[in-house]
Amino acid sequence: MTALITSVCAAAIVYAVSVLYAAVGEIFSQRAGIMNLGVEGVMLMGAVSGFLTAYYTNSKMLALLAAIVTGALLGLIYAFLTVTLQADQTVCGMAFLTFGSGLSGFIGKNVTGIASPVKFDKIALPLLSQIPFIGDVLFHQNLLVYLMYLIIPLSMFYIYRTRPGMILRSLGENPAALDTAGINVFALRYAYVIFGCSMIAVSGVCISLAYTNFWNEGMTGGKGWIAFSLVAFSEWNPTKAALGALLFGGISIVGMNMQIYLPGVPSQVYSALPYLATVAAFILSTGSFRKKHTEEPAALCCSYDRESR
Amino acid sequence: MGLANIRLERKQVASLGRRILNSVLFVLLGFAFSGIFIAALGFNPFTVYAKMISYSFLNLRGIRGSIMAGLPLMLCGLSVSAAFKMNLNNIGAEGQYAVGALMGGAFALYGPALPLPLRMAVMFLLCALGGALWAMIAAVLKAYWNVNETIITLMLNYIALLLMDYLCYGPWMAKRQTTPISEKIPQELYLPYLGNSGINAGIVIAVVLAVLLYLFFQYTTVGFQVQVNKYSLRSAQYAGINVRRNILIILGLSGAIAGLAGFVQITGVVHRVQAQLPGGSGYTGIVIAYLSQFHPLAVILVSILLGGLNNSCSAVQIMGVPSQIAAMIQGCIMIFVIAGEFFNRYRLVLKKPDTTAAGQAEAVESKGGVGL
Amino acid sequence: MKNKRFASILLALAITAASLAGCSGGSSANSAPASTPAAEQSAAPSEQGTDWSNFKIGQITSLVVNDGGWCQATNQSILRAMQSLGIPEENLITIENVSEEQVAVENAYNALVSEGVNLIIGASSGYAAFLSDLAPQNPDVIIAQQGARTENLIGYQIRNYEGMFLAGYACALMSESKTLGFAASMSEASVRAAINGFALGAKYADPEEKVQVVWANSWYDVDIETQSAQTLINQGIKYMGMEASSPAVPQTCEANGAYCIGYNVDMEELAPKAVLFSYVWNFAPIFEKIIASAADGTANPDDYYYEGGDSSAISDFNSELVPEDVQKKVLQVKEDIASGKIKVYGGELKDNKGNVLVAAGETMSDEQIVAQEFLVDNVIGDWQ
Repeated sequence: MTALITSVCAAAIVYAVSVLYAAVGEIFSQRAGIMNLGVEGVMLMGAVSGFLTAYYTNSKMLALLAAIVTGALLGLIYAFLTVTLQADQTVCGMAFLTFGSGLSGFIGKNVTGIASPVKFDKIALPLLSQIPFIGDVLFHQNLLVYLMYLIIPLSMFYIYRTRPGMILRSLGENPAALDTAGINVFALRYAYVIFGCSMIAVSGVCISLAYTNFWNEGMTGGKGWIAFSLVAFSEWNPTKAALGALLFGGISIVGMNMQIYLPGVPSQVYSALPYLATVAAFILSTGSFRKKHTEEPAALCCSYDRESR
Repeated sequence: MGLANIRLERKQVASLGRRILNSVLFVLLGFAFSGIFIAALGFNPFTVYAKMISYSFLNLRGIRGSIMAGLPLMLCGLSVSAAFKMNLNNIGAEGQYAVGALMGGAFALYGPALPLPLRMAVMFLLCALGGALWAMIAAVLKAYWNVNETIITLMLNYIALLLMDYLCYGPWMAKRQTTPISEKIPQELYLPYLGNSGINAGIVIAVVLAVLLYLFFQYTTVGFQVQVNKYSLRSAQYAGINVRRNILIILGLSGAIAGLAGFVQITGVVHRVQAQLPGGSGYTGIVIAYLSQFHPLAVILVSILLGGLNNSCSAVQIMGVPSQIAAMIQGCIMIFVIAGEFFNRYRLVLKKPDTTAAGQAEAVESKGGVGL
Repeated sequence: MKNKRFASILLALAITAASLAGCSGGSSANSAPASTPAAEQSAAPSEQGTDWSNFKIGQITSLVVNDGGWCQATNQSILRAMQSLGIPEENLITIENVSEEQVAVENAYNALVSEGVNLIIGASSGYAAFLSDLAPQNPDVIIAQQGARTENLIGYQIRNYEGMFLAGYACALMSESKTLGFAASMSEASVRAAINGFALGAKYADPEEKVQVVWANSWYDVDIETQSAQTLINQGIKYMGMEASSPAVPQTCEANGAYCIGYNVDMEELAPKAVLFSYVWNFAPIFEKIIASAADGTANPDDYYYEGGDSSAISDFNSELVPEDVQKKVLQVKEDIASGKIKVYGGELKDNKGNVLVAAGETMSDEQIVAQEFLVDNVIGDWQ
């Protein structure tokens, strides 16, 4: 039984990490006031660019770098559209979704169905992995998971405890006030959108080079949407996003086990469980019956226009 | 002339002609941009585009194919546009389409054999009702507890498609079939074709709905209120508009239209209920709604164009071009149209180094700016 | 351009590897005569004078043809069949990523017809209903459709239960526990046939052996397939079969010290420490017959090819993992199936709800096998 629990927990972590990069990236972007609905598209571009690089160079670090650069380039375009040209963010997000899924399939066509020579394998951390239970769950993972252990506390610290973090929060709340204080709202929004997209692209690498070492068109299978949902669900808080991702991954795996322990129920019911749970958790955590104040950045989705200040 | 001499100037509302010209120009730029990727894979973009256009739009069979492929997209596009008129992001057209198809399909397959016009009408209403009910879940949550409709409608898509899978792989699956598809619906429920065009009457439904939707937003009180809501929730509340009721009406309407996509596909094309029937139309509907700037009549046109674009990738695959070309071009065009939208609101003005404010205004007057 | 050349080299390599696998699998089983590529026999006498340069074949596939799974298996089979008949490779026209809906299928059909193809191969069972309606428009264009028998279409299907029987048999021989696993995609008849074949093979090795099935409810989902494999492994299952498209199951097995039988194409390279051998779809012998009949005008829409033997193939054994004696036993069983000594769906056969499906001494009809709606008595799990 403990083996079962260990393995369910470990698998939930792997799942959670693969959406968390995207969720954390999107949190930063949305905190800065820019929503990106096209997470899935950017993720696919990250997955394919990482895979192509790994395939041709045999280096996973270069692959990671390639994904980050691809994400950054996409972020630059996204920021140009939403910050400089002040386009509607929902529209831009959908455009990125379509563009990313189409282009990733287009450029990845010739490497579909071929294994990459390298992947992010599981590494047992010395000493730590010896701890019973916890060691197996937490410290027998791949590099990207370990990085995430650092990213969550660092991003929490950055957002809530530092001066740039404070500026980031007001960027999404009241950009005009920052502008008055002499801070370059446009440059900062560019920076956070680019950072966000890079992180989202890393999520893609988690799928194409850590889950498996394979590329296939549309292989993210809706994870981008899950990451997007996590952001509002978490009230723009990385720790809560991590909890939400663990919950979603955990329920999905437990549902699979339920097929064995509780047969006789159509298996589609278990497949729907994670989505039902997300809906329920989302309603409970964001419904206005709970409290008056929400954490939602007030200027989210609003382009900042100096003239109409 | 340095960069400093270029200035942006806010324009008054651009004229309709300007806007159309602008869109066309940026669509072309989108094609040019996709051309870079096509060329990078070693194909000649001009040959590829020529083949695509001639396949989908320069012959009767192609046009018919484009219209048929565009039909479910039209309804999904209308559905998304309607919701967006009130700033509600309904990305659940996919799920609403599925549930509409299931409700209508259940009646067609297992319902009583009512006399004909009635039977068709009941099926029509059930499809609409199914879509509306599915959207209503998000609407009620939004109206009463202010729960973000984007995420709820999205999650409901997954659930609806799994429900559809369950039924089509299980209890509804046709006997002696190995694929998730039901028996045929009774022949009398087939939508008639328009003459011998090979196009079914679903197109009439879509066009009539588009016109009605246009009239609704243009001439009814609720339609007007909805657009006030869009600009400012607070001013709507001050004006005594019942925002809650409007959310329910608009999302319900949006869902009902998406559900009707199920009706036209089942009665007009597939004649069966099939797993994964929506096949992404709901998401493409979002793209269409935005590309047509939420104008119901433009939705019809854009749907046909995108339907044709999707079809034409079969033709260029024969040349060896990857099949994902359609999605890539769609994405590029969208990005460029979005960028182009900016120039409906602003224009670039070349500023002369030392002019007074008045002189500058004159310069703008006489030159007309480099407005796009 | 560089990419394309690269891809074609890879494709060529893959084809050679696959055909080598096919040959060597058969050569050790010395008595199975059909295992030498049937191509050479059929191609030599009848096709000598045929001018193939104008014979065009179109295929419609649901994903890309190098998907590492089903579509790749079909595509390679067609190419092998064409190669052995001497049809130039460029006469194959592919329309891929065609979803299983009427408008998309009709569009692909029209595009192929306007290119003047003589034969269309519908490589996904979901196209059957639509192609059946379209076929009468151009009676000259022959359509071969994967799946059950359908009006107006030549049908083809592989007796996948034969290869799966071998898979289950091998797993049961090697497993110490009395439970094997099976990671399944969606509950479709052909998938159930695979599970049942696997389970019956396991039972043939050991009457006590059970097969636990888990459903992914998706044809392709890396996450969920990983979870399926993980869930089975958590049950203490060490050996499993699969009917899933991504390499997630073998790779999860490899990471957890479990073993599996690859599916669709030879998956050994993707998880060399977990894949014992793979179940491989080999449509080439069927396609050769269909192409030949289409060319000489003897094709008839009533033709139905439901073939086992070398079509329901297994790849080379992974000799690092599969002991010699197991290899021999598996090849013996393969022969026994071919010779009719073992009847996979022979009675008495019960489903896992206790109903008798086939009485003792009888054999299930092909019609029932193709559209089967049951799981046999040693399968744990529901099919609905």
